[in-house]
Amino acid sequence: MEVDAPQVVDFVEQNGDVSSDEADGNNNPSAEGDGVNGGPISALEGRITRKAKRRLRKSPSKENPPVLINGLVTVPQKEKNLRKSRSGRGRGLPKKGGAGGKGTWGTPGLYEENDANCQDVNDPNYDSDIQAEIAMKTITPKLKGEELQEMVEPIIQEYFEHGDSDEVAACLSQLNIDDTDRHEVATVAVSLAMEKKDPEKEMTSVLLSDLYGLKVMTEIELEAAFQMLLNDLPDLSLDTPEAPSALGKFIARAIADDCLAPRFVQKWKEDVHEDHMSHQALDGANLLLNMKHGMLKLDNVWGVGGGRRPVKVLIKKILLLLKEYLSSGDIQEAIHCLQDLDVPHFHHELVYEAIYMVLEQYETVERVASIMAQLLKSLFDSNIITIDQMKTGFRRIFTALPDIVIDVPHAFAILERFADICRQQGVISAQLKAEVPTRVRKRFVSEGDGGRLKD
Amino acid sequence: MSNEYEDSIPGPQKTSEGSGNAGESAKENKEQEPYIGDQAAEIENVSQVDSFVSFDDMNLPDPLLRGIYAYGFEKPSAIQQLAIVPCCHGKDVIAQAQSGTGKTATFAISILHQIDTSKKECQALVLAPTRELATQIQKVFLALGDYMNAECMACIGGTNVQSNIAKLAAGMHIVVGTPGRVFDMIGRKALNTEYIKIFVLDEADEMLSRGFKDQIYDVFRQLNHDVLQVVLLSATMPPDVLDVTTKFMVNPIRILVKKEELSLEGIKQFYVNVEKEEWKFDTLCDLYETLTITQAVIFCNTRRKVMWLHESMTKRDFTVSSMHGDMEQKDRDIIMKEFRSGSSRVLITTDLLARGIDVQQISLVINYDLPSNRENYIHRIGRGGRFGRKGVAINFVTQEDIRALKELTEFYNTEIAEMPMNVADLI
Repeated sequence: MEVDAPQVVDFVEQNGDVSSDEADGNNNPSAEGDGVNGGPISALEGRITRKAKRRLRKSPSKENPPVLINGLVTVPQKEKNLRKSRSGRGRGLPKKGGAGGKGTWGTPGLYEENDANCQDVNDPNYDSDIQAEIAMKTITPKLKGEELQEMVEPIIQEYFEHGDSDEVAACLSQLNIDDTDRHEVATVAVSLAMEKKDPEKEMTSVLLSDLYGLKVMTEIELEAAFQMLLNDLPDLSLDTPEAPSALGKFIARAIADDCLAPRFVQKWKEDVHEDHMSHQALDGANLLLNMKHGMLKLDNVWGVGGGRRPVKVLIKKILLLLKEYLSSGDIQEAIHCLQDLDVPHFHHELVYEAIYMVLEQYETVERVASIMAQLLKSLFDSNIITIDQMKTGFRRIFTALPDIVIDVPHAFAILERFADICRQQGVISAQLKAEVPTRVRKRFVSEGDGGRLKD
Repeated sequence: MSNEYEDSIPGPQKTSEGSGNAGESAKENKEQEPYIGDQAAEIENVSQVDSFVSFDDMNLPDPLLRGIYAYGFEKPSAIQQLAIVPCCHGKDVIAQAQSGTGKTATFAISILHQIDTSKKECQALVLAPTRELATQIQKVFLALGDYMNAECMACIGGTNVQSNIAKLAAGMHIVVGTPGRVFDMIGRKALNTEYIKIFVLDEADEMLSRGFKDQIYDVFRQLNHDVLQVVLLSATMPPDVLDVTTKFMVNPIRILVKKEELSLEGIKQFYVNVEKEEWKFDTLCDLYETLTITQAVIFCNTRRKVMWLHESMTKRDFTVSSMHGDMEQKDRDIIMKEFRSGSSRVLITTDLLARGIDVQQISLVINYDLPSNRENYIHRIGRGGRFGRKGVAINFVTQEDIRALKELTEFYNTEIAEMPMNVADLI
């Protein structure tokens, strides 16, 4: 018995159920009482034979699993004195079959069998030929609702930068958009465009028409998208006061581009309550569509500004607004037109053209110098034309002057006068004023003094 | 009132000349308001606006400074040097500078300096022209106020109205939103305006041109005017913006940064005629040695191309990193940090992120694709004159691009020459 006790304690400790103190006191008696299976005789026999054989190992007894009584582990009588581990784990020695233990390869046959079916591509034994029946398929989860919006938004934002609608179509085709939510793409595009300026709105209209043309979007989806936008209009207009008229333009443009049926406007108008904000949008669309040559004008519904327009078009627009200003004298309108072009880094062109106009018309139109100076002044004061743009514009004139003077003989003198006015108004700095070129005129002191130049 | 203001307008122009002459980036000017003669002390205080060349000198609390540096700011920009301190002192300020010059951070820092985070009430209200900008501003607030438990919310419409209301009820220190949205929230009694002491109008010109005039006035009427500080930021100052300043502000300090933050001056621009799109890649690989002399950014037009280029370069064992709009902000920040610290030397990206990259040591920019919007060209390769860094830009052009390249030179009135063999010597 003196030998037994530590063994039991050992067992209990391995199970971690009871502390060793309790085990010492309780386990021995309970084990004896429970020894129904073996009984005292069989236990004795067992002990003798086992001792004689000095078997080192015995597989964990399956027929007599440790029994829990009141939370204590009891050990069947016949196993009481066994010097084997009863934890269910061996001592880590190899098994007869060759399995287990250190330095063995495991039971033969075991892994080969598994390897044949191994489906892990990263397993070195993976053989794709055997996998014939299993076809792996990447499933992109269907995108819906907010998730979809999150995916589409960057695509559209990027489109505003690169302007390539094929790219958008390619990106969209990579997404697995839920069929019921396909119209969301158009909704997201239009509501993002609402936050941007006219050139971006123009791009969005082009995108919608292109997506329709590429069959990425159907008419039904577009219709659903516009319906949704019309419904959301009260909310949209909180963040974009001009949302109703903008949406009207979008709808009219879509109809002009043949991606939306003209009856959409009428149908929807009948459906909604009269007070609803969407009526403003639909009325706007209707008006645009029913104007004379409406369909043609709709191509320019968003104006013709933006940094991706040909430079020639931009120059033409600037010339036009200057001419208009010259006759109307409406500074506000001129500023507005210029800002609509949305090309802040091209404003030097306006300065250049304005001065050029002064040079050309100074002799016929008296006020031209003062009027143009006024425009430049207010554009400069409000910082719409920055100091750098102003400088660039003036310097361009300075370099072009030798050429201009061929057509306008008095160009040098006129420019000097105009620069004076601008200097007084504070449009140009003294430094820039000093740069104004003066004509190198050859004046001889008098005839017959050998061609000496006057100092 | 407006007359007095008009009288004081010519002031800034004088300063602007100064900036033109001396090449200084900024000048300040004090607005005189003759009828407040009894506040001589006040006027005296404002007469001297100091310029602070370091955030450390601005007397900001430590948690805020930590936020500023953690955000990646090293030195205050021109507008920040001048405007932060007066804003922090509770003065009405008009800050006028081009967009992308750090105006947002200017008012964000001064608001965070002034709010009492222990008081769970809205103390600062920021109006922005678009939802997009409102969310960006909120992110700046959250990043800068990271170490001081400041809570900032962006009022965004759509499906989130209910959650917005719930959040507002919980008490937010700073609220950002478009004028229409904010007024809606006030109307719903979701936003309590009683404790608002700072009122900011960001990109005021943009807000007014988007038709928010009535909404701005509506919101302003709801505020408690006894303690209100108004800060107005705008790139341009058309008459309707001036109107707002005269009606909302008392004795404002006007800070004007006339110089454009981005300029092509001092940047050598070249083009390489690669003839065909397919040959761009080999050209780039040939240039790689040159790229890594310092640091380089490569711009493509789309993110798919960014990913493709990254893959192709990596396959050829060139070390590059890439960043595009599709990435999580966190990942972008990590890549930017790597790039800033210099551990990655070549960055491939798109226009969408061009405006966020202000790394001073980039001396080479490659336009793998020409920008389709010419306005983006200067955002890609232009840099602040303040730092006076010289740089080189190389444009890859195919046969079809040649026309676009010519238009680009007209647009910016600049020169783009054919790339010389010794381009490496220029970097």
